[in-house]
Amino acid sequence: MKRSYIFSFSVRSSFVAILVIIATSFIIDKILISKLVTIQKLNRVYSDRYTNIILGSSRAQGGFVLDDECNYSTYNYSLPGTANKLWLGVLPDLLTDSLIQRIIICVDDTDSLILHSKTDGDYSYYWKLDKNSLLYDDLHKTTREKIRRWPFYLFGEGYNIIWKYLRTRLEFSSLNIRGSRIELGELSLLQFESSLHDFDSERIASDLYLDNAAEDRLELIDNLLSNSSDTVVWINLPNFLGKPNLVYERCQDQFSGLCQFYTVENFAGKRELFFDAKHFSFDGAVKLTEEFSWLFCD
Amino acid sequence: MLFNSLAFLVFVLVILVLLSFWQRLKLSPIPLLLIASYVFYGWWNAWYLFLIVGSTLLDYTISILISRIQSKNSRRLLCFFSIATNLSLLIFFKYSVWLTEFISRDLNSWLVEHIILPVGISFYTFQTMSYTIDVYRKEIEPERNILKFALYVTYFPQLIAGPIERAINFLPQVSTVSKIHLRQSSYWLILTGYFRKIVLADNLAIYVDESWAYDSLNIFSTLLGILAFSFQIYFDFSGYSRIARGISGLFGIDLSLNFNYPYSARSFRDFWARWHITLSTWFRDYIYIPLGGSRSGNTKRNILLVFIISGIWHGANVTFVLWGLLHGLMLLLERRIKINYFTFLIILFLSWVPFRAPDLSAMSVYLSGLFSFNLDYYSTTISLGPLRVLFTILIIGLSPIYLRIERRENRYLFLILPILIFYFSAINETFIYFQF
Repeated sequence: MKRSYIFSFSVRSSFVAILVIIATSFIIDKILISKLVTIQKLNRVYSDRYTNIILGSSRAQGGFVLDDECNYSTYNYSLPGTANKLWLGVLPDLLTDSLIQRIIICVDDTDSLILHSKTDGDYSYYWKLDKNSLLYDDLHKTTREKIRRWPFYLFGEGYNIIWKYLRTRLEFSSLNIRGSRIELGELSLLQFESSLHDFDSERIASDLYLDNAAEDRLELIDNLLSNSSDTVVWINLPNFLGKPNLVYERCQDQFSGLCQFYTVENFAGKRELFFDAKHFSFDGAVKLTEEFSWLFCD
Repeated sequence: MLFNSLAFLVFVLVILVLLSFWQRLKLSPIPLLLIASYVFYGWWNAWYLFLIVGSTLLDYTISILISRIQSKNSRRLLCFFSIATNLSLLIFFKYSVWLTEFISRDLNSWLVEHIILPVGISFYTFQTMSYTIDVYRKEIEPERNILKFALYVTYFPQLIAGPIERAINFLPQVSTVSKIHLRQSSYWLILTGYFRKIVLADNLAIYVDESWAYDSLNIFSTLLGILAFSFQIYFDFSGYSRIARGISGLFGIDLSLNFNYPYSARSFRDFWARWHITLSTWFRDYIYIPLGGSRSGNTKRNILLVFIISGIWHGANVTFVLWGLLHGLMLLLERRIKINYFTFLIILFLSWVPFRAPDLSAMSVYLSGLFSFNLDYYSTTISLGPLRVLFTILIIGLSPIYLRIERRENRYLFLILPILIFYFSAINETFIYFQF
């Protein structure tokens, strides 16, 4: 048998495949990844110059119907996932920049205040953030082990990239405007009840445990708030079951006198205002926006 | 270590490098492959090495005794002893939890807490039983070299999920293997094996798993889930077999073909000549034919028995028995009436539902989705979104075309498959047949 078989076309083809992969990695990075909503919002929250900015998770992302007529100075940077942990990372950065803003934070009730778990969200492309930011530092700690080194960071990511890229461009079941993503669809009764069941069985803690890192973060924000010209507004978004929000209450204790706090009433138990147990329907988003129109209409 | 892990790829690379040095020293590769196999198996659970080594020593000794003893009764007794020991191990580790569920809750709880199914036990016990029976039948001479025999039992490419190798095929190759073989055909098998497993099967698994967890399927999502699993299990298992055969080919040992494009079959009889071939031939040679096969007048009983046992072999669950029974009944029905191809495919795909179902209740809930015509967005996309649904349909739709192209080594696939593997792998950390 010829020894030259190891240089047969199969190995040559596979070598070419490797070159194609490396080349396409560069192209995908430039054309697609940098245009992903997650990356754009995470970067734009630093670079944009909106007067009013909304930070939160998918609940806040789908909770405010912003229009150009009244809300031209407002943008919703909320992202799905445990994004309030992101924003407690970026808040210190925003408080120390030169821009004077009204920062509206809608915190969810989560197990830990800042990014700890490796399963927190999907912020795999965090390395595109400003490396001097606290957000980069937070994400680096949690997602570092999820990130493969170049050129392997796109391994298995083909579907996700296409999905994320297309989602914001071909979304049929939601209204996308000024960073908000308002749910237009409706769940069946069975699906809604299933979401209630899932939400109901989530952790109900009588106390919020904070580790040292979280305590330090709150202390840092406290110090920055004392010297900042920004206005920080904390909103306790309602849920269908009327469950309490321990994170919101903790922030209220910590920052009372330095920030504004608002709890939304008269939403719990009203099916027409909710898409599922936690997220708002279109009608719910309209009603919520009306409640806070004074914040957005300058 | 899983086949679709970086650790395994590094492991194989290290073995190949060591073997290449080994062959320069003109040493037999058997000890090195044996050590590698024990390292591979011990990676799962080092304690179970005692089990497999014990099983190896027992069957090695018994087979030599069988060949030396003249008395037929004694030889039969020894053969039965070997079979009984192997089956006892299998029953204890695989079925004792299921059996004690109806006998004693305390014992059942204890077993659930303490028993871990040794990986590959269903495969290597069947393999060693076939060896002992073949020696008893005087179809092969017993292997005198303990290292070769041990390698036959623990050979790592096929240890965890087959193919179930016959000694008559394996041992002569081991005797003559002396160096690594960097063959293009081996690379082709490995490449297509990984593509089947981590691109096709694992992407289908995302839809399948969600459909089984979702509580309001409709006819569309149920049908798609059934089709998706039918292809997932095929690509998962056949992908593993290809990787096993490809890696083994690099060592110069050709493993048996385990899948021969089973969805090209036109009947259940044809299907079973193409699906998990080494298992079905094992059942044929060691159960069906000894029972009399189709010549004893008890053909129906024999066929049903073989398929019920086959179902039980797959797992300690009534659903597997139901799956086996269904196939057995279809084989009998085919003998009486001609089933058209379309009907055959529908029944074949539907038969995977009990195979996948965790229990009968879940199975009936899943199948009830076939009668739900509520085609709303969420029941149709089962919270995965339209793109995942389209992607699943695309994989299923293009599978027949891909399988046709893949039948021969194709220079374009050598270029395209690595790119698709890189971008579209959806690493699911199990191979379905590892659980058996």
